[in-house]
Amino acid sequence: MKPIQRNEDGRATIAGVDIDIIEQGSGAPILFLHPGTGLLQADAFIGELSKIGRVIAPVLPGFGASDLPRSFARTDDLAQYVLALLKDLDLFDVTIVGSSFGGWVAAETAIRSTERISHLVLIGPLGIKAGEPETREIADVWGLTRPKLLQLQFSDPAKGEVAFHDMEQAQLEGVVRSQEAEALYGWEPYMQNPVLRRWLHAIDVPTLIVRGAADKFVVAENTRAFVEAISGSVFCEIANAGHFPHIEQPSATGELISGFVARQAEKIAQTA
Amino acid sequence: MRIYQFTELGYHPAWEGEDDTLRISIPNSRFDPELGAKILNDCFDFWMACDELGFDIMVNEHHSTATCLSISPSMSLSILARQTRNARLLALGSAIANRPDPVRVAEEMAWIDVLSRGRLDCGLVRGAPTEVVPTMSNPVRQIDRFWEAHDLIVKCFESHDGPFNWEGEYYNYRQVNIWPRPYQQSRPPIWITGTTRANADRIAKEKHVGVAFFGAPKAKQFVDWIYESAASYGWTPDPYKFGYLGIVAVGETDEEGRRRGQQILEYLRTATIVAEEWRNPPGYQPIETNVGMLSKPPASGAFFSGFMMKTRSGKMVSFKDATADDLADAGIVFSGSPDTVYRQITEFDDYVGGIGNLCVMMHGGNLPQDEALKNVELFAREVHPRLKEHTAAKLQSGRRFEAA
Repeated sequence: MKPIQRNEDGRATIAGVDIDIIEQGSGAPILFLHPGTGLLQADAFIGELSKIGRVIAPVLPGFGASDLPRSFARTDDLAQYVLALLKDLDLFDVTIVGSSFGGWVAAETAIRSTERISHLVLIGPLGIKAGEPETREIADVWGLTRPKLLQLQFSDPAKGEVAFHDMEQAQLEGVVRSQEAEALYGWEPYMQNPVLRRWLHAIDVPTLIVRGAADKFVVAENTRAFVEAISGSVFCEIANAGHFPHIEQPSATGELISGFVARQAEKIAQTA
Repeated sequence: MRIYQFTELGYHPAWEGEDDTLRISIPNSRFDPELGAKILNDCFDFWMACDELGFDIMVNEHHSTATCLSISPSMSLSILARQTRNARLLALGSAIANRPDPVRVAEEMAWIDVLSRGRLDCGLVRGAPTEVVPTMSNPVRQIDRFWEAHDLIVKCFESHDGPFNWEGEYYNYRQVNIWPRPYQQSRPPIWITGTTRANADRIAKEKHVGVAFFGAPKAKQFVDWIYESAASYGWTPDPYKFGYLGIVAVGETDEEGRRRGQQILEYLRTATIVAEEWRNPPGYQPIETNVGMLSKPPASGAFFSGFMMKTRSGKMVSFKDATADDLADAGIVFSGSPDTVYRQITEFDDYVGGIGNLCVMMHGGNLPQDEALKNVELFAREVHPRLKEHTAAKLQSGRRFEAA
């Protein structure tokens, strides 16, 4: 495990890319992979996770203030990047927690190698197509006004409101860059990689799949297809949460993850 | 001055409704096939008349919209290549960054060039923000894709020694060898629209025709940039290296011309009726533009009436309040009697610095077919001959080139 060295601008050069990264707490490493909106509104959840370990929350290349290498264009690039990041920071036994788009990247990472991963938590993951061509499994984020999008993504849409016009210029630039990055990686096929689903069976670490009970952004069948494909995975719903339980119910989501990791440890102790 | 007659081929019956959008999500149950057939056929009749009157013709493409029934420049030009006799045929253009297969575009354009015996002007455009959704075209890095497709199309036109290989960032082919090759040698002229410094520079570098749409001050800026870049590449453009699109309406009197201008202007009003969710796909606008939009409180949803335009004198006027003089001063609508329109266009031309190719909307909006025909007949008789003289004089004096 290596400490994160920061550059003068506060970012860190990790695996060859200058990125924004949050580090909080101590103990077993927890890597949080953010949704398409970046780390916006994620402070409370990162706080909850830091109660159970050392949270490392990178802003993925292209999002927020993180550089976008010209050659990056697919979530494959991000998965390779996450593996390179784990290696660069010399992390082992990492619990990866990914929400929405970050859940997609987490799954892409885990099908490649679980060598450095101990647990995987996918919260409302994107990334796969499970139903018929005419079934819209993931709502069209670029075909909805913001109020309509918030109705689908939040149990209480007010919790998704962000006062963009009160933000600093640099922050706003980060918001816009995140919107662009999400489109770069997720435009077509829309928010999925056809290769991912057929390799999910390669994931061989304890996996928790979380869905907000009021998630109207991703259909339940799509999330359940992850559960079916990943052997031994556990499925849990979080009440009073939509697509982003980590924003709407940060403590309940944090407790669920902490409980899951603890039970896995008990299981290992029992078998030993 | 060459005059390219353009019409957006709008399905105007749908404009009468209360729809919050005329693009992307307006159901095609709103399209009446019988009325649609009349509109399409009227439009081709109009273009045939334009050919007879000595004009050139411009077509374009849009998708999933009641504002434009022209869905493919290749299709429209295929008909015109066979039916017309003299007009140059401008596709402005093929939205190549939204098409998966640039070789197919090159093939179709070359075919039109041969069929028309060398009358093709091959315009290549990025396309409006509303085009990325119907075509599933990623707005991020769209410009990069555009230029790679451009390079490949040019190579298709100019390569005559058997197959070549193209393994680029966005397009992959093993054996490219288009048949037929173009009629014009070394290739048909390429026209490109733009508004940015970077685009102006690339257009100048390639010696293409640079085109600006609707708006005098930004057209002048674009033309200035092309001159500036051309100088750095060691050549001097003449007016035929520039194009401009505006609305033109003439009448026997100023009043009649202005009324026609207002009827065609209806096109610009309806063109902006787009539901909020389709207006600004991520990555289409530069980051700083989007930061500017986010930093303001959410927009009230006003469309056309709130749109502001800048006149040559720097005055900001809204479409709602603009007078005929304002519209002419802004380079949006040139309207009035033949003398008035001649004066407006030549004043505009002198201000911008010499436009050899004027693309005009004289048909469209709510202007009935017979009025559109009267509009072009009068223009052909009373205005166009004088505009040709105006450009010829400009070419002779070389005035603009010294200024640059």
